[in-house]
Amino acid sequence: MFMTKIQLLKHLSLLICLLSIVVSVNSQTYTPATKSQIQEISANIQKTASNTSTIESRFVQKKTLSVLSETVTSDGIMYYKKEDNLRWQYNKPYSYIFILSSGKVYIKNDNKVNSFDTESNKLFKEISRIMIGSVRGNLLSQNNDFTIQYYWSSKTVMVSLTPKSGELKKLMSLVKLTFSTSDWLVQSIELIESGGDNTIITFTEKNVNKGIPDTMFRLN
Amino acid sequence: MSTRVFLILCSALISFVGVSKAAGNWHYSVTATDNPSIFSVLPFAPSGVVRLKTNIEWNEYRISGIIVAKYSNDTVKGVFVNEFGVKGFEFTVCNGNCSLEHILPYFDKWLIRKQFKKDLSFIFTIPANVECKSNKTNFELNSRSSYIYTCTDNKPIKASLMRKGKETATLTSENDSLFTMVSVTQHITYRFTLINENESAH
Repeated sequence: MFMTKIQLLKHLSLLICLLSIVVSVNSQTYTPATKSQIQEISANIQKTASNTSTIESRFVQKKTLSVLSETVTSDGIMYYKKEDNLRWQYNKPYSYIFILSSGKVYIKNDNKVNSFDTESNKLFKEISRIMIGSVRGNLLSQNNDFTIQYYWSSKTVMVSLTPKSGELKKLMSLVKLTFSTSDWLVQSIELIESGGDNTIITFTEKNVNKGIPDTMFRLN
Repeated sequence: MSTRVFLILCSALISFVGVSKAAGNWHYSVTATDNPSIFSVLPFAPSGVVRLKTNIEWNEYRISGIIVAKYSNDTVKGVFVNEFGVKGFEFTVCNGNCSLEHILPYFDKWLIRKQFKKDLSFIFTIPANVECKSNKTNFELNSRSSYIYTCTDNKPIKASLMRKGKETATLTSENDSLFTMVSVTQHITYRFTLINENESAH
């Protein structure tokens, strides 16, 4: 028995709706946030940042090298402690430790330690600001340095930051921070270079407000 | 920004990828696998890819990162990225010539470009049609430069860059996973540690 045109249209409409649902569920579909949504998102992120004294989290970092069709994968542990203490410790593919603390940068590589003063060096100052601001989520308040856009989906919020000028603009064309709406902590950081290659850092096993000794932010 | 600070910054920002290739007139050693073995001191996988943890010491400056290099169809392409994934530059080596692309502004200085191009050309030279016929194998890159390979068990373990009869640089295999390139004239040393794709660097 053949369907009438109306029945056919109804079936097609239902099929299209079902497909739309499948697409939305299986991939993050972001919608630009309205003004009121932006205010709500900013408020939640700022509140969480204010209430966060420490963060310890595992991370996986994937760097795409499009020219080679290869990916470089690293993993490690990140420690953050108020106000501006950050330890970025790579364990794989090899040990490499980067520490920001008290206006200084410490790097341990192959058992050798180098240190630099962030105040005397623009690039490290920018890197410090971006890393700590990304981890804490308060990078979003720095409107003078970035063009900021907000997007939301069912479970996450994505904030894109385009550097306006300066040292950071030389390194990357876009930074994307993804926040989980369940805890308003940074879930992932994506750094996109002007050539198109990107680095994605995903945080897992987050522990918030648990004691982290100050010694974690020093290198012997 | 002073040069010292610039290079110190680069030490925190750079990973290392390089492969270079030079044409030659020697016979190429081929193993009984689907992919021909790659004639190099560095341990390229049969797929043509090598990943190296890299530390560069240039006078008092230190630069570290990762090199990923891929050899295919007589051309080597590579990328140099730092531990954070920031790309220092891409490069392509073919017929003994090295070009740099997408150079991080901090590296985009004439002297640095020149040095990297020269060093990477030597480090990742993969001459075509060359095999270890004896303990020493000679390969002429051009009228001014040649390589002398020291071989053990039919595998090159050291390459010496000769210019006007003098050794100007060496690339040595310390063991299966450690490699060192020394530029005698420029006081620059590259230390490489092999990274297996699914494992850590040794």
